[in-house]
Amino acid sequence: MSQDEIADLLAEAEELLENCASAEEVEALRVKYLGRKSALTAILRGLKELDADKRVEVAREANLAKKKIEKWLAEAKQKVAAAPRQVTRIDHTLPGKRYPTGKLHLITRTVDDIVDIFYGMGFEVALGPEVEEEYYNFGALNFPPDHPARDMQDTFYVADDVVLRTHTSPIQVREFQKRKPPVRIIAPGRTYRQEAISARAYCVFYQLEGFYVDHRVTFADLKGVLTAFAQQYFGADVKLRFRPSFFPFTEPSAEVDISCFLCQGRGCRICKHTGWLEILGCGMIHPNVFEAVGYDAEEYTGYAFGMGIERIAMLKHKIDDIRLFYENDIRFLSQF
Amino acid sequence: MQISLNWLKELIDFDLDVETLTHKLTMIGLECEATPLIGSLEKIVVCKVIASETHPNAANLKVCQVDCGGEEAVTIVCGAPNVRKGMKAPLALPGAVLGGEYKIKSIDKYGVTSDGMLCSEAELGLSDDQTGIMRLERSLKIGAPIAEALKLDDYIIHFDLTPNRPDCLSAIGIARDIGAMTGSRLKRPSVKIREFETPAADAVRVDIEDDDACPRYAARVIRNVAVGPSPWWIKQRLLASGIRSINNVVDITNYVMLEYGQPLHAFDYDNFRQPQVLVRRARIGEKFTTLDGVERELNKDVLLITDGDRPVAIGGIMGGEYSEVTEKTTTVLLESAHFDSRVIRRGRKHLDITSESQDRFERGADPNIVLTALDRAASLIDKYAQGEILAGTVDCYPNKIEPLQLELRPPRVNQILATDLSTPEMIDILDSLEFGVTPGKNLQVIVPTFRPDVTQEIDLVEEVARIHGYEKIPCHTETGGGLVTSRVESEEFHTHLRRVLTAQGYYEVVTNTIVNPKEVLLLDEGVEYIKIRNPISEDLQWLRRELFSSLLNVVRHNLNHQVEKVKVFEIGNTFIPIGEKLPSEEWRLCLALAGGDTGENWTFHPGAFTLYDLKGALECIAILVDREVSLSLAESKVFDPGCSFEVMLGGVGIGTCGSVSRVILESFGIKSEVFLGELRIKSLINTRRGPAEYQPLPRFPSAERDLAIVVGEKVIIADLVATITAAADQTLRETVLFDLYRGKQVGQGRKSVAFRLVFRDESKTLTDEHIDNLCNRIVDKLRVEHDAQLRA
Repeated sequence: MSQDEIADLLAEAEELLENCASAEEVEALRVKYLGRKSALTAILRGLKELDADKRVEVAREANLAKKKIEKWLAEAKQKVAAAPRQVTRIDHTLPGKRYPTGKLHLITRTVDDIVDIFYGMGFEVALGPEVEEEYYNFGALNFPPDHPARDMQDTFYVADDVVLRTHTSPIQVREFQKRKPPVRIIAPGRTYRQEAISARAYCVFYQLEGFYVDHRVTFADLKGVLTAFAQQYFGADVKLRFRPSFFPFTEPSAEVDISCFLCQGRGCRICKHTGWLEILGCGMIHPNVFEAVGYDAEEYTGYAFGMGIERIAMLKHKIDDIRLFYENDIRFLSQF
Repeated sequence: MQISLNWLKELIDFDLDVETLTHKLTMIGLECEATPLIGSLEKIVVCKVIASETHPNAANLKVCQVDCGGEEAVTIVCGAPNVRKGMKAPLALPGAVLGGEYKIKSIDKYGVTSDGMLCSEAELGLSDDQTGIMRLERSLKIGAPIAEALKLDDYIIHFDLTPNRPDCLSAIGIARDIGAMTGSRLKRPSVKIREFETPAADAVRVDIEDDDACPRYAARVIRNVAVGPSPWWIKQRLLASGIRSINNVVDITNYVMLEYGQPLHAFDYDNFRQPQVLVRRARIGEKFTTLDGVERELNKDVLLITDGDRPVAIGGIMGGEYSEVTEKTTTVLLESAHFDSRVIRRGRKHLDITSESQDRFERGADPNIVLTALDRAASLIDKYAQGEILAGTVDCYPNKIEPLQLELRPPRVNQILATDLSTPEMIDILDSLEFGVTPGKNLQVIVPTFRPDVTQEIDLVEEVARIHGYEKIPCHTETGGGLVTSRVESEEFHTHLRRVLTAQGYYEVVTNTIVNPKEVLLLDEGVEYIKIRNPISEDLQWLRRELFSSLLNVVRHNLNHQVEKVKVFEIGNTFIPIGEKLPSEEWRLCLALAGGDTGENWTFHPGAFTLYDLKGALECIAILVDREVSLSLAESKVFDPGCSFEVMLGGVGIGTCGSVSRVILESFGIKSEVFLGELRIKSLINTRRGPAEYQPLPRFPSAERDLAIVVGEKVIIADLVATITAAADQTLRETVLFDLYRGKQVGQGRKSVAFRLVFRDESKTLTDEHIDNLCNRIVDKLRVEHDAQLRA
């Protein structure tokens, strides 16, 4: 190739590269001028066949041309990269492509959230039967034979001595019979009460029972575990109030109120202007329960607590009719 | 239980405003709240009518001049029939508001200006008596504010008592707990009895047939009583406790009941046929009319008070109609007795009546307060009904009920409560509650008989704890215990199922386990159910054996409420009788689909649900146990015969699914097609494969071939796949159905099926020749076995 030819090549390359509009065009020109099959490459490859004096001159020319083209290529690359790109705009406001998901029932969610908190505190999960012997539901839990809770007006009977459990506390008895302390268990489940269905009451409902038996378990431990739970579940600012109460299977017994998280204790309709919401019952497990399961009440002490799942969910989500939980209207279910 | 605040103040000194008092009582276990006795009584005063004349322009009205303590008389126009010159009455002056809304103003009445209104008891909110102007006692000071004059400046404290505290169904019981809280001592009323010479024993003898049911019966006889209205202060206290005033004698028995917690009963002695009280069990079928006028049929559970001849009252529950004390009564037999709580409970259940008396005896009254209460009532009748008390009490108490003695170990208290209380502090608390304490290393504690709830050491621990204050017990957040926190495997699996199904667009539902027999019998007849003996309604009687009926109800509810896509599941318990005491409880998963996808997302097309929507969900579930689902045709009452299947996982049946039959849909009132599937969760878990074993990743590339054939409509996919697999060799790794087409191009009664075949060898790269040979064999075999034609 002559020097003129190289000059023509350079002129052509300069013009083409100046008018490049895309990176693809630049790349095509790179292949054309500097690629393996390009004229320049051919010249450089053919150098060794030239005379020594000519060789130097041609080599210099060719290398100079190569450098120029490389420079123009770099400039063209920069230019197309900087040029405003012609793009088809995407409507980013269209919804994403997905199959609509369903939701967990609010009862499941509430139970799961509460169980998770206690699980983190070292409580095991246990379950028990819903159709239960009267003995486990009442007798072993220190309900005297004539206790009003045993009335047909309060409890569903399916046989003389078989009931639909009225609380999750029989799980205590069943677990105590199975193992020796330390026992630390959380037991959620479905319970029943012979009660007309209304906005405030349903014949089926969920409870969650917790209990811990070991050497030297005290009322202070009970206060601690429930305070820790309430502050995790309802918020770190929540205050607790333990009031003396009565349950046959605990002594001393307490009702636990939390400061109303809806009005921060100032008083509102939900807390009936008291600033407090009753959330659970608890106490130290009665020595008679230990006696029924063969634990030595002198060696071991323990606490137990129980809460109503629907009540907690209703407070937390401001639901005013318990029947909504069992009606399963998808317009309700989809809200949580 | 509700009681007047002023009454409590009379019994115990305390310096607490009403809000603090109710808060403190709540915090020692007597949950309560206070409301003002009466709404605002401002500008209502005591006045005296000094003149009363007929209204010049209205014959049924009177124009009265009344003195209300000012310099000049006030003119009032009044329509009440009982207004008389000289009477004292409450006067509402202009500015007063009656009943919270009726505002009094000076108004013109037929030409005479009335500067206020004379009020009835009803207008003041004291009773429902609106027959005339309230007649005030002559001793009241003219011009005095009515609230002050009638001691209406009071609060009602409403208690929500726990069942273990019968002692607090009385003013004295509550005052005792206030004393324990404040350190003051109870001021019991002094009881002085003025007796006449005639012995009561001559007028009545008492016999008890069943002294377990009635351990004690005491009576006094009071002659020449003047039955009439009660003094205002008694009425006011009954009012605060929500008890209607009857007459002075009956009111006094109620007053003393509220004071001591001991129910009393006053009989008209002249209605006794014999001078005797005989306490006995009722006979089966015996009838008796109680004072509410209802004739009741009795049984052996009911205890009767009789005169030896015929019954006069149902012991501890309610008096009889004809032995009531009325204005005509002159001689009163006053009963103060103790009845066993269990007997009262059974009687109450049989008769289905409750009363103040029954409530107290059922919760447990104090057998040793009987005489005090009796004397208190007698002395009040003497004072306010001018009676003559016969000498002595007839008291039948064959086996005295002695107080219980317990031992309390002070270290035990601190051990349970994590407190640091000294022994003297514990003694102080018990002493303030009137427990008798003998100090020592261990305390010997005598439990008063008004506290039947205290029977063990632990009960004393609670007494100490509640008076000391739960809020003073420390709060420990460190704990010991085991390290094992196992979860229940089935519960964990339920959680996985829930996640999978909600991700697939299913909503979780929770339904009643108590079901309607009529509905479940449609689905599953001739099997045994767990039946509730005392159901709340006809529709909710049996425990379910399956979830189908529950979910069909959910489907119906939603379709009826404009939900066009019903896609739900429940993980629920079922109950199968197995001939043992308790049934077998089995967790099941049920899926229901009705309606169709409604185009909630713009990227896919709306369409009615098909069996394949349901099968897709089952396939997702099968991934949890590392298995594949297959359906095999199976008969069922629930499903349409053409679409009724057993769900197989790893060759094992774990449930059923299909399209619900027309008949059942009609019975449930559902118009759209419904797909249901129900799996036994335990069976599902049992099919779970062990941990998956690692397979080395392929070292040689795979080759794919697409194969489109046209076959008859009746040929099923599984058979085609079987033929393909048999015709190929082990290098065929996957056979994926990727298209199914019906239409003009393939002709009537035929369908086009397209498979993607994936070939791979683990030891070499397959040659095209090898694969082509295999494909030809496959096509030939499909042609022979299924009349399949290769599509161009």
